Amino acid sequence: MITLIILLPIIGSLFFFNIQETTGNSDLDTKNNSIIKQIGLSTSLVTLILTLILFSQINNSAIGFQYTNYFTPFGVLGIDSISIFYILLTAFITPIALLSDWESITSKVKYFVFSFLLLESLQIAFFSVTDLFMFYIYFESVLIPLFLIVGIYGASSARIRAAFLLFMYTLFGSLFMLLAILFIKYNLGTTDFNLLGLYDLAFDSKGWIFFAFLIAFAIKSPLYPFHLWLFRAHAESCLAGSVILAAIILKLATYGYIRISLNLLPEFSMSNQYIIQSLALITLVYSSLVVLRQVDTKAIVAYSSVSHVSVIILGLFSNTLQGIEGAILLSLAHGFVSPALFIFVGGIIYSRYHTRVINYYRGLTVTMPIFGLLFFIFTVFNAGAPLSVNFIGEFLALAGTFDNSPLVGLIGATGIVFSAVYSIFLFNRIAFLNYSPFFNRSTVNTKTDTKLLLGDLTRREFFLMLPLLIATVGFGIFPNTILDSLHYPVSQLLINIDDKVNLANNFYITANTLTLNPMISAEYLLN
Amino acid sequence: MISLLLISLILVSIVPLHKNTIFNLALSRIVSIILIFSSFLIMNIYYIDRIYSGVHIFYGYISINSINQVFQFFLLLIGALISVPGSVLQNNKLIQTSNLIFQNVHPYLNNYGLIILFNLIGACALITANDMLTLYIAIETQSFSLYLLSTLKNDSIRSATAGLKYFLIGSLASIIILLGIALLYYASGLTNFENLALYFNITDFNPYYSTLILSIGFILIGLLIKVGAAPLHQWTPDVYSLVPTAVTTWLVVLPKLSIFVLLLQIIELILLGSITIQNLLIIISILSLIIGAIGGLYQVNIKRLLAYSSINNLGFLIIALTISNKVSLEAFTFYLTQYTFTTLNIFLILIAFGYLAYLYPIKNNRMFITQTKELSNSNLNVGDQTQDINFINQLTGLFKNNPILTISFIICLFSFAGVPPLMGFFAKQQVLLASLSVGFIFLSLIAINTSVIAAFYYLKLIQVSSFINNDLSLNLQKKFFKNTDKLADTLSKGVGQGISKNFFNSNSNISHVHSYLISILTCTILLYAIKPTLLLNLTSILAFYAFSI
Repeated sequence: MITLIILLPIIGSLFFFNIQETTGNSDLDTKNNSIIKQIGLSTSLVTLILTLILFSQINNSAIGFQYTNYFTPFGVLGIDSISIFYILLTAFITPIALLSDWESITSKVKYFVFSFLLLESLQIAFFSVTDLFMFYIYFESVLIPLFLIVGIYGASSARIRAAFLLFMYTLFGSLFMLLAILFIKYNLGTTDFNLLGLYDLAFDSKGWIFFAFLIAFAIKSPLYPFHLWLFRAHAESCLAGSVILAAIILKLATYGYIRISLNLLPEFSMSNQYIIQSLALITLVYSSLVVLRQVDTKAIVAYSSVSHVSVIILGLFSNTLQGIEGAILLSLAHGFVSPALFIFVGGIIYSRYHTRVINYYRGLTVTMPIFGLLFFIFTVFNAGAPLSVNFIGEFLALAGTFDNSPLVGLIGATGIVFSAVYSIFLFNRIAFLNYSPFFNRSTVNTKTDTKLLLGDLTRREFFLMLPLLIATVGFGIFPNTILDSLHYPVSQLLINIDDKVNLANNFYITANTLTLNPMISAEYLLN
Repeated sequence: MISLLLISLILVSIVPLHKNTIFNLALSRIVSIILIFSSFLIMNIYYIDRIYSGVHIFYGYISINSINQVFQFFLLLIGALISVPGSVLQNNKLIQTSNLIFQNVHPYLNNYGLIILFNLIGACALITANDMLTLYIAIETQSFSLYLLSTLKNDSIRSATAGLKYFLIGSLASIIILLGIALLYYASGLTNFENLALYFNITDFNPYYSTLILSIGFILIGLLIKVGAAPLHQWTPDVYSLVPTAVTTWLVVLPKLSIFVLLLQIIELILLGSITIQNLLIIISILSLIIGAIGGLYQVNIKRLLAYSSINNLGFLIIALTISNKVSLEAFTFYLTQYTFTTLNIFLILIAFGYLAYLYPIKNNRMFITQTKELSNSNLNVGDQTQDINFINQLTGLFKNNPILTISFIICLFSFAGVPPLMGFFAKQQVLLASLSVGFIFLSLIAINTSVIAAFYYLKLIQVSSFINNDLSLNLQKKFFKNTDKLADTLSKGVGQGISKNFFNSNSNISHVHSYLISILTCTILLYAIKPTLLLNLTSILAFYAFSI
């Protein structure tokens, strides 16, 4: 079943590879392009349906991986109740991404659709492998299509720098991860998650393994010193690329923290907790303050993703049930809300006025009331307003953090205020006041249809928003649909952390007492 | 039995003597067929399971074992593949061109077949060498044919420069090797590899120890100059960039392959009982990695850039060679195979780009005839313009014009950069695993960091070829005819569009064999991860033999 889901997007893309695609404007070409897009969209929808079937069959109260398949060309596959949500998110976002750039991409449509389907396959494979080495391979291989998407279909000439930053940062970080994985492979002879879980990876106190993984994930998530690639890549990429980057690519790191840092290296995660927490706090406050001064609308949304991701990381490393569950929930919620915001600023208003500079925008509620309403709803959801799944996630994550360490929780909670400030500020500048004098017929690109220019959301745009809205509000009112499935694996994770940390502490205490105090050691031996 | 092969090779190489009667393209094809035939002949001479760790022939001057048998096969096959892409399809007709030079200067080409056959005889003898004398004779045979090959286009000052430079440096290397052999003979009185190995093993205290180390150092340095490892690398970018692309392919792929296979077999002998040589190799590998990564960053010439990238790859190969345990020799064999595939594919694609992107006179196309007339009026000699891609900027906008070919190019570059799930990543991973397993953590860190730096210039190539959407043909034509306003006018109006359509849409294309070759190599690189055991088993068995010899 998982193999089929991974293969399906690639199989689907085979159907349109024979269709002749040209760049002209004749009816035939447009028709061919739309056939290609429709095949791509329907492939991703079929994948979504299969994923939903898989989701309905999964056992929420089983330990370890289910549907394990050892003999696939993609490595050892298996899913559990955590990874299924990320697979669902991938399958849910890919059709939305394809649909969001439905009209703006006109040349090389075939390769555009193909790279998104390939990306979907790679991401689903990433979330379903149970092998450290294959984990690395998929973590890296998403870079190839992403680099090409940002570079070829991006907007301005700054896209080249953005693509280079995206690639070089991630490659640099993940090569340290490769060294660590090779070290583990050489020392333990296996890279399977199940087998590695049985080992105590803290052999010879190799703390550098943890930091090698941390650098890779900190670049991808991103944490403070390594965040410079993110807003550029998000801002300069084409809309669909931004959607995928924000919704799923950032979650690769979240998933990596859960699978590797917490599951395989819990001793180091706990002993270096304060480092990660302080990095996350710096990221949170710094990025929240930076958003206020941004003028690029897409960069604003990108920076707000950074601050939300740091809340996710705070929750993950809080060592409490509600913290970790809230972090997972928030990462899913962020996967619904940030694509919506990207589509608003990078798609809907960009396709009308062709600028991303926020100073030109004003008073859009005059011409676009439905846009104003939806934009407001998603903006306050982004700030974590109740009724949204963001609220539940953020609340649980911060509650867990507060439980773990009140000071960290306190500083982390300022993130809520900050996110309210920049979200409302963004909405205010775009939606209210008089209608912007810059947007009359003479200044805006004359190619834009007048109907589009002054019109509200089109049908495509509205139905693009609807599933995201339904998902956000639906899971916000009934968060237990997700949380119930998470209780079991997350408790398992915590028990595992507790066991290993206790084991390590006992070992060190025993060793120290034995060597330092001969009397005690004699007593210990006698007993 | 090996003599049978050599004699048959020389016999069939008489074919080029009938050069006046044989169609030029047919000659190149005949050479390929000969090479493919000989490669299969080699596989069938001995069965792998019978020869195990080797049989000696010619009184121990040559030894055949599984490793050099497989690599002879590989070498001849690669040689055959390089000589194939010598034609262009125009209006679905095979046009007779060479893969070297223009049609109107093709008379030199008739020597091409003879030279590459001699080169391959030298290479095959080199990897089967079991004696220092055989080694020297073989390496000279190989090198002389390479000097000739690089000056093949002998009316061009660039080729002459390259050939002279290559000859001077190459003969210097040969002399150093010869000096090493003489010193070795002075110290031990032996030239046979196995006798030497025995000699190193049985002597407890050797008065000539330092001379022996010195002599082996000389031989090693001579060989490393020939492959162009880092502190001795200065000739490679010059020579590679000055000769025509097809010759560059030959220079980059084959001598390295043969010399490294030789090193793979004698590395035990080289490293025997001396930490000095191992340190020398480690220093050379670190320098190769760093210089290869940083030197490529500021290149504007694509072949110079690829030369630096090959230096960076040599660093990885030498790391694997230095460690010299079973894991690392397996990694070495695999890396060598992967490196050969990827380099070959990149150069084949560059040749194809050259065919597609450039204007050159083809006699049965009417448009080109008119154009050539105009050109001859304007004192522009088309014959002087090679159809090589020389500068990185010439790749501008290729993705727009030929997306599939450009994607093959991109896949190769990503494989070089070591991005999974492509073949290059697995090779690098194996080398790193081997180097971590013996505790070379610092060396692995350098290797990893330099491969990130090197990734930058691979990405630059990708960026130029696919991110910029300029119209390739018009851009190139403007560059091509910039000193004649009249022609620029004509081209930018009617003729230019005509050419771009004629060239890039359907009528003109690279030949079928060429495109099959590129697609097969690309698929090998791309889909290796799905069934890795095919190649891994082979390299593992070979490493086992190499280690047991």
